[in-house]
Amino acid sequence: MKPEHDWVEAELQQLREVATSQFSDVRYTEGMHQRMRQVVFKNNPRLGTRRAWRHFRGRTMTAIGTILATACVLLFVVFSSLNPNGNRIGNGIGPNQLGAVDWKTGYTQVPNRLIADHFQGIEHIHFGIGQFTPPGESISSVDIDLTPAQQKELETAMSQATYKVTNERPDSASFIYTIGFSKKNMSGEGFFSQTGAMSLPGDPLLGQANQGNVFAPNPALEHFISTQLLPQLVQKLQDDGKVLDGDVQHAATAFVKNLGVPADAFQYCIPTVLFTGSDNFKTLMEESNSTHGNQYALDSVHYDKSEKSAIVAFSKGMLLWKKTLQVRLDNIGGYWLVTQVGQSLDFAQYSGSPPLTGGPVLGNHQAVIIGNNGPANLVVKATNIPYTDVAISSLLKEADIVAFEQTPDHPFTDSPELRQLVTELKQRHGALVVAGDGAEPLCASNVMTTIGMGKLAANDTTHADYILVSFLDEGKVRYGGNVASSKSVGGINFESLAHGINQAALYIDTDWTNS
Amino acid sequence: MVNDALFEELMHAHGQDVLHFVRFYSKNSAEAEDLTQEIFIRAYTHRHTLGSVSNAKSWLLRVAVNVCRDYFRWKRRRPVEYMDQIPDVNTAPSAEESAVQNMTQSRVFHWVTLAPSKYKEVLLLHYFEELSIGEVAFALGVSESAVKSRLHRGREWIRKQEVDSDEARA
Repeated sequence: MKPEHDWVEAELQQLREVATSQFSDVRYTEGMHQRMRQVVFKNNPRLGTRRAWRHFRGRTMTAIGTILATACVLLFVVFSSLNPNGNRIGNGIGPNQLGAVDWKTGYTQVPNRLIADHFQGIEHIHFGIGQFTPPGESISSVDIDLTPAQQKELETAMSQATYKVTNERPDSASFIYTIGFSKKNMSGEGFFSQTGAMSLPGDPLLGQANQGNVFAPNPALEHFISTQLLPQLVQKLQDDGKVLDGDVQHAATAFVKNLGVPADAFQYCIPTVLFTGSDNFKTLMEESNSTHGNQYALDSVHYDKSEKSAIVAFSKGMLLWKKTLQVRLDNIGGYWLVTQVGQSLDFAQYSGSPPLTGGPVLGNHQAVIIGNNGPANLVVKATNIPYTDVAISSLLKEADIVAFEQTPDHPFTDSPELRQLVTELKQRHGALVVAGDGAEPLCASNVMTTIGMGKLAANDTTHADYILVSFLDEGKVRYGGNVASSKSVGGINFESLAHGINQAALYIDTDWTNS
Repeated sequence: MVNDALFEELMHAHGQDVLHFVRFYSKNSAEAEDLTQEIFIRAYTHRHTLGSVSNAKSWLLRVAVNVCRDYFRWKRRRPVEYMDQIPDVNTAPSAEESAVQNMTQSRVFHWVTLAPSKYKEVLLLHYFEELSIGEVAFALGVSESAVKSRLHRGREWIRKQEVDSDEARA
C-alpha cells in the first residue's frame, strides 16, 4: 500500500464503527421485521397452493388482456388506414388523442397522415396577436377566410408537416402568437373547443391542442403563411384600424421565424395574467417582499427598465406544465410541493404501480391539480370529475393541495358531487382545496378557496387564502389567452393585488431561471 | 431450497446489515426501509438461487446491490428534481448539531457517501459490511481482481477529494 493511502485505509477500517454510530437511529427493529415478514410471506403469491393459483390466474389474465388489447389496437390501425378520410381522431387533434408524450424526449411524433386529414377543408384561419399591446388597445384576434386555392395550398402544406407534442416550456417570448385553423361551420367558442385547432404558441382556450404542439420545419407552411396569410392579416388589421406601430410586423416576423424551429419550439400554455407597467409591478413586489421577506421573488424576475416594462404572470396552471419544476411553498411550515408534475399527475401511470412513494414525492406531500389543461393523459373534465376512480382517489388522498382548473368549454358547475368531493378532501384528507379561474361560484358559496385570476380580476383578493404566483425569468412570458385581453389587463387593480398577496397565507414562487 | 423459517432467520440475522447498507447507499432513511423491504421480497422470490446458508450475507447483499441499482436507475429516468439544495426547515441540523456532527463524522465516511457507485459499492461491502474480496466479488458479480482494482481506485478517489478539498479551503 502506498503511504498516501495509509490514512485512507486507516479510516476505512473504522468505517463500520463510524457508520454504525451515524446510523444509530436506523435499526432493523422487531416491528420492522414483522412488517417485512408480513409483506414477504403473507403477500407473496408464491406461497401456498391457493396463492400460487391466484398468482397464476392473475398472470394468465394479464397475458390474455395484453393480447386482446394488442389485437384491438392492431384492428384499429388497420381499419383506420382503410378509411383515410374518416374522422378517427374525434373532433380535433390533441395530445390525448395522439398518444402519450414521451417524457424522455418530450415529443410525440404524430403521423403526417393525421395532420393532413385534419386539415382537409380548412376554410378559416384565426390569428391571435396583440398581447404586448397596451391595455385597451390590444388586438385579440383576427379571423381570415381562405379562398379555395388557399385551402388547397394549406392542405398541401400541412400534409408535409411534422407535428410534435411537448410539454416543455417555450424559451422565447416571441412564442406568443397563435394561429388556429377551423372549418367554416365552427365559430365562437366552438371554434376553440371543438376544432382541436393547432397552435404554435399556446392559447389556453384552444383546449387540448394547446398542450405543447409544435410544428417541425415546414417550408411549405412557412411559405403559405408568409406569402398569403400574413399580408392578408396585415391588410385586415389595417382595414379595421387596429394596427399599432410595428406590432403587427413584429408579430408576423416572429411568427414566421418560429415556424421553423422544431427542437426548440416549445409551446407552453398556461392561464396567465400579463402585467405591463414597471411602476406598478415594482411596487407590488416590494410590498410583498417587505411583508414576507421573499427576496427571491424580485430576484427571479427580469426587470427591464430599458423597455419600461416588467412582466409577471400569475398562474395557477403553471404547475401542470413543468416536468421538473421546483416549487417552494413559503410561510406554511415546511410543506413541499411535488416537483414531478408530469409523472405524478399521469393518471394512467398511477392506475397501477408504482405506488405513491419514492420518486415523484417530496416528503410525504403531493400536489394534484385537476382540470382539463393538464398534460397528456391528465384530463379530468371539470364537469365530470371521476373522484370515485381508485387511481384518482389515491392521488387526492395523498395531496396537500388540490387545485381545480377549468376551461371555458368545461366550466365547473356547483354540483352535489363536486361539493362532496371538496368536502371529503378538506375534512377527511385535510387537503387545501383551491379553485382556479372560473370557479367563482364555488368560491362564493365557500365550497372552495379561491386562487388566481378569477378573484384578482375582480379586484378582490383580500379573502384569498392561497395565491399561486409565478414569475417568469428574463421577462419572458407565456401568452395568457383570454386574460390578456384588454378588459382583463385593464381590469387589474395592482393595489388590490398587492394587498391580496400580502394577506395570503400561502405564497408560491416558481423560479424558472434554474429550470 | 430455503424454507420460510430459515428465510426468516436470515432476515433476522442480516436485516440490520441490509438496512444499513441501503441507508448508506441511498442516504435516505425512508428510502432505505422501502428498499430493504423490496430486497427481502426479491430475495425470497429468488431464494432458490441461494447456494449455501454460509454464503447468505453476501448473497443478500448481492440482491441489495441489484435492487439499489435498479431503483436508482429507475429514479434517474424520472424527471424529478429533488430540492436538496433547499434545506428543509424542519429537518436541517442546527449549527450546534452540525458542529458536533463534523467532529464525529470521519472524512472518509463523508467521501464514501459521495463516491461514484462503482467505488461506493466495493468500499461499502468490503469495509462496512466486512466482506472478503471474494465475497464482494460474488456480491457484485465481478472478478476478484476487479474488486481489488476498484478498491484501489476508490481509495485514490477519496484521497484526491480530500486533497482537493484541502486546497480549496486553503
